[in-house]
Amino acid sequence: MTSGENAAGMSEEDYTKEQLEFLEIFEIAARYDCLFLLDFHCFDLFDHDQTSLLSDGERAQLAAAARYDIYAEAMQKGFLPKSSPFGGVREQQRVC
Amino acid sequence: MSNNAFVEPLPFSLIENGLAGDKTEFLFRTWRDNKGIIVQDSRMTRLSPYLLMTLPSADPGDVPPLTFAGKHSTFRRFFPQAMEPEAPRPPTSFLPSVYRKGVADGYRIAMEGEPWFDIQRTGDRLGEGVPDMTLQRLLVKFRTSAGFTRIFCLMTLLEVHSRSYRSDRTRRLPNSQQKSDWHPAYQARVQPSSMHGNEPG
Repeated sequence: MTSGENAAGMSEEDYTKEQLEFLEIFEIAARYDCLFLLDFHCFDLFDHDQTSLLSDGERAQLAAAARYDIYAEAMQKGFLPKSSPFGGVREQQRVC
Repeated sequence: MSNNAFVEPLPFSLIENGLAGDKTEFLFRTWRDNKGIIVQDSRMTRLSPYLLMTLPSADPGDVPPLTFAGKHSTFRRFFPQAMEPEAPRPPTSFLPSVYRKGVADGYRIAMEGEPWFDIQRTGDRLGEGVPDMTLQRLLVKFRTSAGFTRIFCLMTLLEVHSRSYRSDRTRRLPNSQQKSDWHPAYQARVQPSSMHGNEPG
């Protein structure tokens, strides 16, 4: 497996930008044990907390809504936004 | 505890005795029973539209940065523009400084890990266009097992008063809707089902 692939052998190029945005937020929420925040934001936006039922566009909307909430303290806890779900560094994450 | 005339601490026994509403009781009991640990919980998710969440730190005399405002929260109801993506940051800047300063004490207590429960008569402190209200507020600090921390705020709108309210009581107009029975415990004893009838959403 290369650094640009996940365990399923899929590379970053196999995902859309919207999918990656959601995966990025999900990964951080899972790492910091705060998936409840995704539930809160999902419920706030869509009146349910089943992210698996969302379209890619809705997931991106959820990621945008939850981004500040999840990043804010993760970074205070020392999180450095250096890795995507695939292990690569994504330039735009440096400024989050 | 508070030096602000418009904020008055309330005893937690009101919550424990079911006089502060189901949502407040649920949040308080969850906090207490889980020892402040938050986990994924569908019941808490269903409460989330009424919640505010903040970071666990703030500048002295100010409220902490807001990270989440549920769509049925009083904040979203009266300051809907604050959560728009293009709105100036932080969202709490939409709250007048006199109000932020007055309610900051409770956050400081909550940040230290103690729950905070109060009642507020806002008067004109929330600025033009926002009515004078009686609000009940519970603050508790939750953290995840990984140490991710948030202050949860459940604000309950108990009553909207006349907009002709003046902070100087001698100038209050005779048609003011303020009543002597605005305390939540009194209301709960009188009309248990109506106490949270004004709750947003």
